[in-house]
Amino acid sequence: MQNWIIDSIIIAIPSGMLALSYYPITGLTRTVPLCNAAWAAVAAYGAVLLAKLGVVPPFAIAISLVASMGAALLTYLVAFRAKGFVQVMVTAASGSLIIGSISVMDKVTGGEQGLLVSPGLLKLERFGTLAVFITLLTLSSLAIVACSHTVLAARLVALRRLEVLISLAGFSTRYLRAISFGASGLLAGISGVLVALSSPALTPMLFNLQISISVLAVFILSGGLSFPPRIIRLASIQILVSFILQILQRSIALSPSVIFSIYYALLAGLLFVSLYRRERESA
Amino acid sequence: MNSLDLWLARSVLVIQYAAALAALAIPLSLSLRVNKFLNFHLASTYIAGGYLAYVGSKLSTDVALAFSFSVLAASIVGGSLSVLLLMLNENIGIETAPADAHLVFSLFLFLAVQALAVAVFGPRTLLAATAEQAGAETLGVARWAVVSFVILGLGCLKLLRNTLFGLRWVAAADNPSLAADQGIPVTRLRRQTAMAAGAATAFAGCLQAWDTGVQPYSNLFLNAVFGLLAGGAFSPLGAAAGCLILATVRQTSFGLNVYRGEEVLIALCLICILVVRPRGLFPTKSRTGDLISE
Repeated sequence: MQNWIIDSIIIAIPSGMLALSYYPITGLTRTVPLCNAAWAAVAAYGAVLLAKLGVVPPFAIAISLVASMGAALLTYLVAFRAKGFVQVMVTAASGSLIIGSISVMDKVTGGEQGLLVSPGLLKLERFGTLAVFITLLTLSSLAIVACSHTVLAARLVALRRLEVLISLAGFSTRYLRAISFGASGLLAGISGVLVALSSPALTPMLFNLQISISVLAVFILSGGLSFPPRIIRLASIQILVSFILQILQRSIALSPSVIFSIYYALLAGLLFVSLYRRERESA
Repeated sequence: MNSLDLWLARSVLVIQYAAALAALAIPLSLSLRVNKFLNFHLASTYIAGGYLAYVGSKLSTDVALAFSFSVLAASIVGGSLSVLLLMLNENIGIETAPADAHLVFSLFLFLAVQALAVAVFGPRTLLAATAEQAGAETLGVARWAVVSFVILGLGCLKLLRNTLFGLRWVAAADNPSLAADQGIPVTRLRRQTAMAAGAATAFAGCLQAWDTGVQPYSNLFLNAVFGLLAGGAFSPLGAAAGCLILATVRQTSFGLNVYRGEEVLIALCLICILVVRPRGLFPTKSRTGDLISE
């Protein structure tokens, strides 16, 4: 396989993982977070900074994943009292706070200039990047499918409509929602680590609000809201979309802004069709 | 410049930025109350207004004529576009969370419009050069026009509140099914609100473009939404007050002299306000019960 195809797949897999991270929150409980990319940023920057400080790479990655879960739980602590669009915008504010803080701390994180990731910093070369990425994505997908058949997942689904009944049955809705945020933070963290492993430099632009929104759109588009989850379709569509974007950027002699406008316009049209069909089905 | 003059100059800047935010937050608040979702289509109409100002500036070298044309065109196009986009939203949904589906769709469409605008006009700030040619006097007029527009808008809303139209609007916003039973045309009122809100945001975008130029990647709309939530989502006056607070915080961040410090401080301020008062600082009594987890 040609090198650029492998590179494109390697860049596309983290966004597939980020799409998977929406499943515990949006797929199960129908809560919409707009800061998954920011949680990924916590893990990515955490892993690279710890590795630069001399922490053994597996430990650095494990600590950064815990940090991204912590960021997700902190976001929940801020957002749990609100509902609906207020909650959505609180998560957007949290994401903005995380990414803004990364930019502000330029002496540590490199700010807008980016944090250079020297090759071999996280000691991945010996395993083969593509193989590790595909294995991680497959394992995460299998874990989500397995977890979706548990009682916990059923309770999370029940939270969508029967929140009062769930609390009357003696289950803490806050605890259940916190679990969904934590799981989502973990998956977003894995995505962030994959970005750190595949990028020569980390910049805040890689994790901004637009990334969260476009991945969320693809998540809804690919049937990620269904239960049990259509994980393979979800991850494949996200990877395919990112892959096509990579190919467009490499092969077509148009400016990136034109390519992105075509990409967003196409996704917006597809999203409309998907939501239109869903509305007709429910009616 | 002595400290009093400096303080006054900063206060004027705060008021002008707060007015720019409130010009977006107030229509958003009205749209939210009657349409039941955070209508990011208004961000699309805001951008459309800005670029119409740019097109107007290219059509005529006479600044007064170009300004009048662009303001008129922005209001008409913004109003129509907003209704069209709302009609798209009326046909979509997710059974268990329709408001979130509408929000995500409108947010994503905004990204598409933004990307399209950047593809056509380029990523740089436009119109600033034309505005500079017009001289400081015109810039000052455009800047204070936003402030006057916000004050006039709030006054009109206050006057309309006790008219027949205002009462019907409140009924349609607070209890649409009951209002429909009473013969109030709820859908028409929703579209009228979308038209007025779209025209107002496009008008504000046009004025803003004449003042500081069209900035496709500006944080202005996001900050306006944050101001709306900080002040109280369903109250236009609360939204204006929230915008004033965030504008003050933004001005403070300039004193710290930190790159992107504005973004961090505004987000932090909003989070602190919502942790203490999830309904915002100045909530209205109606339609707020569904925003808080009991």
